[in-house]
Amino acid sequence: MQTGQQITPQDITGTGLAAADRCARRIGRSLRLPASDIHDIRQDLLLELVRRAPRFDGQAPWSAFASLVIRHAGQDAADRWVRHRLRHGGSLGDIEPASEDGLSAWWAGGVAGPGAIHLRLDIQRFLESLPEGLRRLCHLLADEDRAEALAGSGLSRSEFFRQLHELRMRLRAFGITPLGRSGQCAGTWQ
Amino acid sequence: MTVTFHPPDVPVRSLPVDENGLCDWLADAEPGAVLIYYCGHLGHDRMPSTRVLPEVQRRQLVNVAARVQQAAEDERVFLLQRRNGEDDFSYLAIKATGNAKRRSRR
Repeated sequence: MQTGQQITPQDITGTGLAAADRCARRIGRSLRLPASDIHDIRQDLLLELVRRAPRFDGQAPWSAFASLVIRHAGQDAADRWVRHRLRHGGSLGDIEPASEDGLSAWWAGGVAGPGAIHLRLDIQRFLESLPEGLRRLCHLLADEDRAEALAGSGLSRSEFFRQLHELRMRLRAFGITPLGRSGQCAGTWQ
Repeated sequence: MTVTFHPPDVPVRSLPVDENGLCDWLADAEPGAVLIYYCGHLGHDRMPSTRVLPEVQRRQLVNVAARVQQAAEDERVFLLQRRNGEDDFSYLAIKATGNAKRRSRR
């Protein structure tokens, strides 16, 4: 392995700390963590960066190396938090078991990698905020196409489309667009 | 050239955002951010019989007002108004900090 690139303290405390701070805040927002836990995550991310810094070989800029390391470490940290909550009866208990067949999994289905868990959390939170009628419409639209959902909803055509518009507006206000430019869901972490 | 004339005793009405713009602001704004979503007399101007605004703009105002009201009920914004003059107010939404209310309604 090629090593030996000189890394200055400024690389760690400047670029590294800024990237760790951003990532920790993002995780904190998604998981609703208190400030003390966000600080802990930031320290863990920075520590991971310091630990991996000797592997930096200079083939890519330091900022790219640092953000990649921190992104992966951040995903691990977020996964650890979710597992911890599942194990200790946190409020997110139904997210992971429901993820394979639940509505949040359906909407988040196009997203993989570090963003997936955040999107599922965002969608879960969005669904909890909906009134019963709109939540039912979400479930219908997850299983059926629009024409079948209209037939199965028991609503008049105008009321169905009014509720559909309401759902779109609420998604937009929540920072979630059902189909982003890439054809995948886009969440607030982006 | 079209010249718009406003009588001096009638304040200018303006609707700076539409419903989509408001939703985007709700998604993106930092806590403490302020949005002026209407200038005029909201309760009066939104009524069809008053004919203060063209019908299209009046409908947009009704939609924006309903969306802001819903965001306030969800505790995502605080609603305030500032009096500028007679029948002339600026209606402000301030982005709240913290969690949106997690309860089902209706």
